[in-house]
Amino acid sequence: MWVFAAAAAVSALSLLPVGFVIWIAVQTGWETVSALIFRPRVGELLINTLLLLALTIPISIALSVTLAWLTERTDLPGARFWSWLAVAPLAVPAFVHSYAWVSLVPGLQGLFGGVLVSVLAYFPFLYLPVSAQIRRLDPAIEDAAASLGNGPLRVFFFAVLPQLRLAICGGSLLIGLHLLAEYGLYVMIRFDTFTTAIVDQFQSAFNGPAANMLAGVLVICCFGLLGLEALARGNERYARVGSGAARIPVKRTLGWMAVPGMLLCALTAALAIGVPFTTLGRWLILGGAGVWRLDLIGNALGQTILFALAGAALTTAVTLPMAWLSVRAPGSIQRVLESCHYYVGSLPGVVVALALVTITVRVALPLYQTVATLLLAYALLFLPRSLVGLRASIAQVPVELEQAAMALGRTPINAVAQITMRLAAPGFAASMALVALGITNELTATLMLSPNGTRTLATQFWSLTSEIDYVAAAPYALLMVLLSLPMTLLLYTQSKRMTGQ
Amino acid sequence: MTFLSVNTVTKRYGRVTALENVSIDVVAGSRTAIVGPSGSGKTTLLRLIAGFEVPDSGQIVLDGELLAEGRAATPPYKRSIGIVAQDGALFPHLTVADNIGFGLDRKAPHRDRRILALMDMVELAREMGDRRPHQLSGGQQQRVALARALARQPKLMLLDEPFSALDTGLREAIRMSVAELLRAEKIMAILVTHDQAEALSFADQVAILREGKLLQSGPPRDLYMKPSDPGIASFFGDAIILSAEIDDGWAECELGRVEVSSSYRGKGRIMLRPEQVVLSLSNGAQPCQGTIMRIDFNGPSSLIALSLGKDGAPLMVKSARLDLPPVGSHVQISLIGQAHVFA
Repeated sequence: MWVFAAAAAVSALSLLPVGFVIWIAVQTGWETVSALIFRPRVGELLINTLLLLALTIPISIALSVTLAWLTERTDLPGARFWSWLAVAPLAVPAFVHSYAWVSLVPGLQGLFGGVLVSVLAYFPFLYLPVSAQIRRLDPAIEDAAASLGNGPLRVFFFAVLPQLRLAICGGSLLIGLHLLAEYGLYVMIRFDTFTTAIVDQFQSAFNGPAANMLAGVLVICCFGLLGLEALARGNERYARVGSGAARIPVKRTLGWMAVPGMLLCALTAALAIGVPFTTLGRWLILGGAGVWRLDLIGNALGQTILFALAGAALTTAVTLPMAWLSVRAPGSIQRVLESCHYYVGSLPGVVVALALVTITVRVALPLYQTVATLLLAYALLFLPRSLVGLRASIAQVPVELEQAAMALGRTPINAVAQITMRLAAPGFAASMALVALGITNELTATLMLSPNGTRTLATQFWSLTSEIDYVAAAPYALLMVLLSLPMTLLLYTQSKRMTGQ
Repeated sequence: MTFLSVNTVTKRYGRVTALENVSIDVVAGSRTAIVGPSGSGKTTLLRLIAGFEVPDSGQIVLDGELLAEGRAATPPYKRSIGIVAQDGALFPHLTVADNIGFGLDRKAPHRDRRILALMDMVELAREMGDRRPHQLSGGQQQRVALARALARQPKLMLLDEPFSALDTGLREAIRMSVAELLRAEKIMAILVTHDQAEALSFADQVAILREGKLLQSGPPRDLYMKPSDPGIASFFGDAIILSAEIDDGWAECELGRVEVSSSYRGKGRIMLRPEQVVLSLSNGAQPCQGTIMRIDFNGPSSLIALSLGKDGAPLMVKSARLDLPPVGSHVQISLIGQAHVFA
């Protein structure tokens, strides 16, 4: 029963940001709200944001599907290597991508720049699920389509592509949510989106209703994306009908087409990996040993690791009741609570931060700009990431083992602690690591909520690049990339393991 | 003396009734088997006795101690009941020895010696102690699960289809050694299974469940020879069911005049097991004869379809004889024992 209460409390907490937006809207009154929302500036931001989404997502889909097909279904030389390079951009935080581009091409800005860097930073979110799915496709379906008189192109568009729909929808949603939430990338490229405008407003006018109303529009955009994805996903069946394991697909021979194929892979890798690493390397060489201010960097690294570990521990602790309930006692109320846990992760960090700032200032001033509030924001932002991992690892422990322990004289709590938690521990550790790495690269909420004097890798990097001190910022960027590498590796191997290869 | 008493227990999951007013008594020193098709509620009954579920109403009493009365129930860890599940449910992160010792107190004297004694008891080689469960065969895993449950010296052992994951040959050997061990240790046992042969050979008392209701319980021979309805009759094996005119211990049916074990009078149905029917070469004089239409040879026994010369369906009979007359022969049909009447 107390597990249920805990899960309900966390769910209530996760409703806070949206509750806050609604509450502020009601409190401000309709006239002010409409005056703040229906003005040219908001229209401009809306057009910017929509254009960004409308250009970045289709380009990413085209790029990812092509790369996935090339690396998984053809005899492209070095396919494994190219597939690695297509995932690797994930190790570079988005704002480091734009830092690299801006220092390479100082004139890069506006929509074009925004779309270019966004595609390069985020396309792996599509490449990963699409390549996993394409590998799993049953070749018998293609054979059937071909035997019904369809040419190779028609086979691809009418038999293969529709089966990738779930992967494409999921990946696109993830990219869309990131585009809405990203702050650092677009500030550097000088492209205004809702998120950059909210942070601007917040920094100039603190918590004016203007920022809050922009946050409201941003939340509506997020929900719009979620709804759109649910619509596009549809509810057709995509699982293979029939028993037994699918045949291993035959690799298509590319012939002379291998040359343009390799060129495309190489070009993508050069832009998405080459550019960040060469610029980083250049700044590091330029700076020499002088930029390694070990006291400052060490301090930032220490703080980052501390925040990451504390945040991950808190997130795991608050997700545990829900994870346990959803595996051991599923039900309709539990599903509602669970979806509360999930939705909050799709909100941009800026909205969560804004809500917590306003609430702490108005209701619980002593908590304003404290570590506790910051950790709470991390917990809310990474709730879904943590829940997915915990759920899966608890689900792998059969309830029979818990019962066997109880029949052997263990109290229920002892049985859960000694058996379930013990067996789920590796999964717990992995999901904590994922959360910790997410916190390491978190910028927006950290900027808005952290106590004075906080210096994490991300905020230090940010303040140095704001002063155009690109050389001094390089070591911080390098450390963030190094810390992100394990997660990238994990995602890559997981997507391989999912299909048993 | 009643050792375990389950008294009018009802259990519902939402709108589905899993068990309805089930009552069953287990006599001290006996073994009981609960059989039924899947979904009949037999596992639910076991889980209620173990304490993993709480009944909606009814009582469960073990050795004079009230375990559950309606929704008030003793939690499983306070009942001295052992359980062996279908797949053993061994803890994958512990060695065999640690699995067996899981229920023993860490500081219990002679803990290691006791674990070795338990391994001997279930005929596990002592070298297995350091292995992990995944390094054992299915039969060895079940032996570990049994030793683990025996360690706490339970008054009652619940066996939830523990043999069904094993190969046919191994299954019989393990079932017999488990029955022998439980008898030697004087531990009462309840076995849940969907395998009627297993139930009949393991238990002193068999109870059959269907759709949450207890249909019949009693000694295995009674359930086999005197089932209370044709459904139960065919659950326990092939049955020959015939309409008959019954009067004063005799029934008049397709096979002629048959002795029955009932004083019922009037129209009714009787049941014979195929093993009761004996065929011999016809000498033309006796009243009940048939013609062999088909013989299906199955190794140890053969299934014979007999035509009785009338329009009715052929009579299916089992015979262990290897020198059966060829198809088309006329045979004499005689019966061993009495037929059972469905009153």
